[in-house]
Amino acid sequence: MLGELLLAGAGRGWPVSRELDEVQRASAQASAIVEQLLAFNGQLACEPRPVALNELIEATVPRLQRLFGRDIEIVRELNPDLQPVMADPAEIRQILLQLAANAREAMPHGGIFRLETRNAVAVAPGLGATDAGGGPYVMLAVGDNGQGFDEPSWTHLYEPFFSTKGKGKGRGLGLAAVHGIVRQSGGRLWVYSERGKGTLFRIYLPLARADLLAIPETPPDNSRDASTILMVEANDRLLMLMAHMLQRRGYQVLPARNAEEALRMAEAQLPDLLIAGPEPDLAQRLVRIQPGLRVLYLGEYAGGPDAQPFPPGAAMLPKPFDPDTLLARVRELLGEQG
Amino acid sequence: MHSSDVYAKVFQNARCGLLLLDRTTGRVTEVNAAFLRMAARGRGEVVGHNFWEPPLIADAEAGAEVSAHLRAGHMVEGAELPLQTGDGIWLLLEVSSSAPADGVVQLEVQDATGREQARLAARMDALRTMAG
Repeated sequence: MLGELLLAGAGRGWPVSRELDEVQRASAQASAIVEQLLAFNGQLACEPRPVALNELIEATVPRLQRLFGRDIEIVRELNPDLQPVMADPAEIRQILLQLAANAREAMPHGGIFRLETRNAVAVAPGLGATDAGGGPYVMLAVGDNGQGFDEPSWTHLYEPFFSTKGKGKGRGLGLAAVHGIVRQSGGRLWVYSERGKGTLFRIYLPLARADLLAIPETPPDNSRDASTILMVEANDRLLMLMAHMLQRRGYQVLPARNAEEALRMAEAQLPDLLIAGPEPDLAQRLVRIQPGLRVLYLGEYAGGPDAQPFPPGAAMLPKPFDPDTLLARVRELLGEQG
Repeated sequence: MHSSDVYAKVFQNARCGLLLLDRTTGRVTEVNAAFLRMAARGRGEVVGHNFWEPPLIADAEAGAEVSAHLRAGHMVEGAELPLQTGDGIWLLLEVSSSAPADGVVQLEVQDATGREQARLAARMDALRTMAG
């Protein structure tokens, strides 16, 4: 946009017009990427289904606490009579993790992270008429007493690449993604913030459809925290099928075709488990980034005398394997019950 | 021609995979040629076998979940399940059900492997970009 304005004002003959063209092109590419990411959220989403939001929050709290460390206290005020909502559990977890990551940035010296749920008949005041759905909803409030930001920022908050964190900090993608997820779920998002006092998000999620409540309300993957699995496999078909199977169980899967891709992804998002072919070098390098990383090797390891040792606790799964065995080994390594 | 003959002809010549299952046991009672081609299996390897378990549906836990849903009288639409083919590869199936008669479930099965691979490739592009 800025590039367009400058070009329009300066004309094509201006000495920096070529650079401005570049800016404009890069900006268009970046916007396309964001569109892709947001659209991708929708593509990946499982069918929204009835979700017990309080249970999902309780299951996610240990992960949030690990993210915060000791200086940030999590306070919960969850209505025990909460109605089931219609949502994708993996996406709700993503919202919680994203808002928690923002809260952590806003509270560098510690503070309080508050989670509240309650049944609501309508959305919060202050939303525009077009945003005010009929309700009823379940309201999830997520707040912190951190640095906050000024009102003029509110209107830009969900724009891709807008960040309140200052130049060079943050990609400005997180809240755009949160907004996209909430919107896609048929919900509404409301925010209030004051500089120096904190920020409060209210997320209004639609109630579960009554005719779907006969289906088991809480699938197994709702009941635990979502571990992140970095999966490295050169065979696209196998990679897709394993990723699909694990995502179905609520795991977050980072797929990679080779070690280089895997390292880049692990730097962006720390995995709990690596699933890869039997080359220990990758695991050794990843363990330096993530000391608690667990490793599952697929295939037979034919290590020579110079081969590096496997990290402690690594496991092997010879090929070919069936999905149930893979799943059992994953659960075992992540310390989960089958 | 009787309507049952017409149904049988349509069933056998359909382009998508079709199976008839006993709703309670999950055993396959009839299968069409398109499914046998997709699964690279002979009729005898499919008819009489429980569809929701290996060696057909490779993910037994997911298969049991869908099977229980059908036994409870519900339908499925677009359920995605991995199938192990006779030549040892996995396909991702998209499975939808209908109920042509009491106690019988008809499954319509499409191969969603290519679509899912394209989706995964798009996701990997996005993740790579985010990772910088």
